[in-house]
Amino acid sequence: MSREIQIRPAVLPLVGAIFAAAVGSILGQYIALFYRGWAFPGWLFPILLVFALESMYYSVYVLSPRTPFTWRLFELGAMVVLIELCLRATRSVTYPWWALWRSAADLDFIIPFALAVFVWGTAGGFGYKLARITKVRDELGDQAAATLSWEYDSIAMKAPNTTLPVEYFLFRLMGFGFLGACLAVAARRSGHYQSMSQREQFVLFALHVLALTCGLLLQGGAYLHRLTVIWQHINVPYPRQLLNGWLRNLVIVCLGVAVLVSIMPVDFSPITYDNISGGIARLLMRMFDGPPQRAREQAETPDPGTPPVPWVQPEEGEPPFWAGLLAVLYMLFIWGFTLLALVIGLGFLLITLVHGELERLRGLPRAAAQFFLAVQESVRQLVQFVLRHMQRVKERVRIPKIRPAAPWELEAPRPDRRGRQETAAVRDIRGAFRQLLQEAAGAGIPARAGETPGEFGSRLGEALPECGRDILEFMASYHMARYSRRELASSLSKAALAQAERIIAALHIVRRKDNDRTDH
Amino acid sequence: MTELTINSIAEFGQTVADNIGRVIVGKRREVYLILTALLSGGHVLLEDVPGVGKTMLARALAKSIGGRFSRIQCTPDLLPSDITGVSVFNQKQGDFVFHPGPIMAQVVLADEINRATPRTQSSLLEAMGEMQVTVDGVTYPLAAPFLVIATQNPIEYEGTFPLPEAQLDRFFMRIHLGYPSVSEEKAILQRLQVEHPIEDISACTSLDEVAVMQRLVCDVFVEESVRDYIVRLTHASRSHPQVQLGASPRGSLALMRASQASAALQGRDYVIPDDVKGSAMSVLAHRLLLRPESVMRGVTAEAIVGELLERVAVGAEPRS
Repeated sequence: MSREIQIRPAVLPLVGAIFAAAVGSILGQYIALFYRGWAFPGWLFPILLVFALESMYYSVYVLSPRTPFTWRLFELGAMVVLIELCLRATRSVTYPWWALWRSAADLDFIIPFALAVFVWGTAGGFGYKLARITKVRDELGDQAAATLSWEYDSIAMKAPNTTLPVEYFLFRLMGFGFLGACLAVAARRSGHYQSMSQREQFVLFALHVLALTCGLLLQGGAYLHRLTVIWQHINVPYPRQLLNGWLRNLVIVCLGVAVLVSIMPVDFSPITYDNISGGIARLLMRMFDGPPQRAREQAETPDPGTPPVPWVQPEEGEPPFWAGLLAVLYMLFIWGFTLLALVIGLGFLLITLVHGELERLRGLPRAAAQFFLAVQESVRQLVQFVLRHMQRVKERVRIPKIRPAAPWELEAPRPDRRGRQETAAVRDIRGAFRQLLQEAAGAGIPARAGETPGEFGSRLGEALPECGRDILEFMASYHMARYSRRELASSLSKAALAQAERIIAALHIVRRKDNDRTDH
Repeated sequence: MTELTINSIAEFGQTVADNIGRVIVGKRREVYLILTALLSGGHVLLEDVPGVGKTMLARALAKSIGGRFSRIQCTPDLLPSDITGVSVFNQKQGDFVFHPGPIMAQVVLADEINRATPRTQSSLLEAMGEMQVTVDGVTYPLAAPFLVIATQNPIEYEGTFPLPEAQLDRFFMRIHLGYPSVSEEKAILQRLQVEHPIEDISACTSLDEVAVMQRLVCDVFVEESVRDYIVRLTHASRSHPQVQLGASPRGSLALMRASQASAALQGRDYVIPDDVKGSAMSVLAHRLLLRPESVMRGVTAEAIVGELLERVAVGAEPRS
């Protein structure tokens, strides 16, 4: 049964256990903060971690639907005994060993026990889902190949009353994150946080960081693990760069979360909502109310030598209409710009995170991604324009440098006729065609880069309708001479050269007419 | 190859195109592209909306070459054995008797191939690649010439299993039929008012002749500069900034073979760059995997191939 289960990366259960223990510890810290009658004991950290690890590894490697429930009861019993032992070792307990039920009224026992059960249950849930991900091959069967496509994964494999294991991790991560944020805000607004010692504040901060890091790693690792399982099942080679890409995405998510946490009204960093709004307000006041307060006060300070002037109430005039309009426009600009920046940021995140599935986005995410791409394209074009302009300037003042050409811009290699003797007739016809190209270029009909001789002939025929038949026949002879392996009959060769001469003569006339027109 | 043989291929193309033209109004270029695929021994993916004559085109082609036509309507519950055939126990004989599936035909129409499950798609594509099917350990070769015309609807994605890039690469060409013009649609209404002309079509060649023509197409001469052009086109597709995965060497081979068949259909025993250009769109476009951001910008594989055809130098004569 369980021996077949392999969690890759192997540290995933460990990360999950640490996450559960960190969340439990954070809850304990806040309980101790809000309820001064109980202090978070130091021994509870290892206890929570031990039970998280036990529950996680047990769920991943041992637990099955046939596991007897008595085993779970035994685990709970062990928890009670261990907490009771720690409690008795750190303080005096009034009730004897044989009266353990009396601990049900002791908060020093109840709170650690409740936290341990919470951590134990959370870690167990994560372990169960990790094991279920590993068994995804049983659910998929021979349809695993189709699971690589996004639709199948998200639609077909999702029963109406169940959630995907990956969603399970995401919902818990978001739920715990929201709970932590709410508790943090409440602690700061109520002033409890400020009453904590520096050491306690540091512990709380470290637990938050630990929970966030482990939670994100667990979420990313679970998704990666699911992909690995499916790919191994259908014998698709596992791409090594996937892990790197995934870690990079996690770093971006972490940065995004850090930015969000920073601008939340929690004062974790100097870039807070209050500071930003205060800054904007000061800027607006400065623009519409004239110089700052201090400068105004200095201007209003009377000179000691001059006699005091009786104070007169300044007349409060109505602000002009244009000032109000300007203020509204300014506000619209500020908010529009902020919204724009948010949309571009969202687009960047989407393109970075769901790079391969962009075409499946709908609604606002799609619009954000498209908007970001449009902005990216505009910037690229602008940079190209500037570079081109600079290049032109450089070319005027210096000898131009040869830049390496892109593969499609490369000039075709000079054709040779390896393995085939080129007869005089073929040489003459090819020479005539080259001359034709030069004359046509002189007459304003240059050959284009990707144009075939046939296409060039058609274009030439449109420009010289009187030579249409000659051009058609010459091109047929040229094609045969240039691309077939047959010898060209001498009569055909002579006819082709005569046709070329007539076409060139017609081109000369066109060229002369053009020159005359230019002279006039 | 003699001049007569090449001319016979050109005549064959002309006759079959005329024959099909009695049923499918217009679309001569598309018919020639399908003939190119047939002579090259490749298979065709027709990507278009329903009702533009995909099935009728396949039926008319099968009748014109005198081959057996079968149609597979792909659905999610279609099994591989529904395509390849199944061995049934005959109580009278006391033995298993093989009942061949629809794949045992010369022209097979796999309608809406993207509705079949990947497993069924694989069995069909395996038959296309290997020219044989294996049922219960017995291998049955498929009769030559063998042409699969698969269709898929480019609009609907719900409940479909899109062909992966590796399997798309197995198709020789992807062709879009498109809607007929106003005059063509009027002609269709007029022609089909009383009865369908498909019943009047008769074979204008034999299967053996088609098989011989397929072999003769391989002898059409490809000059070195044309080969260079083909390779430069596919290489340029691999390094294009908007392409994630360019055309494979199989794509180069297919482009060369399609150019040879196209030249033969025009009565030439040598390939010119126009043959390459004429086939490149149908042969290369479906082999390109675009970057997601390019897809978001609305860039299509056809646009990329068009750009490559404009920019990659043909190399007929050195630039002076």
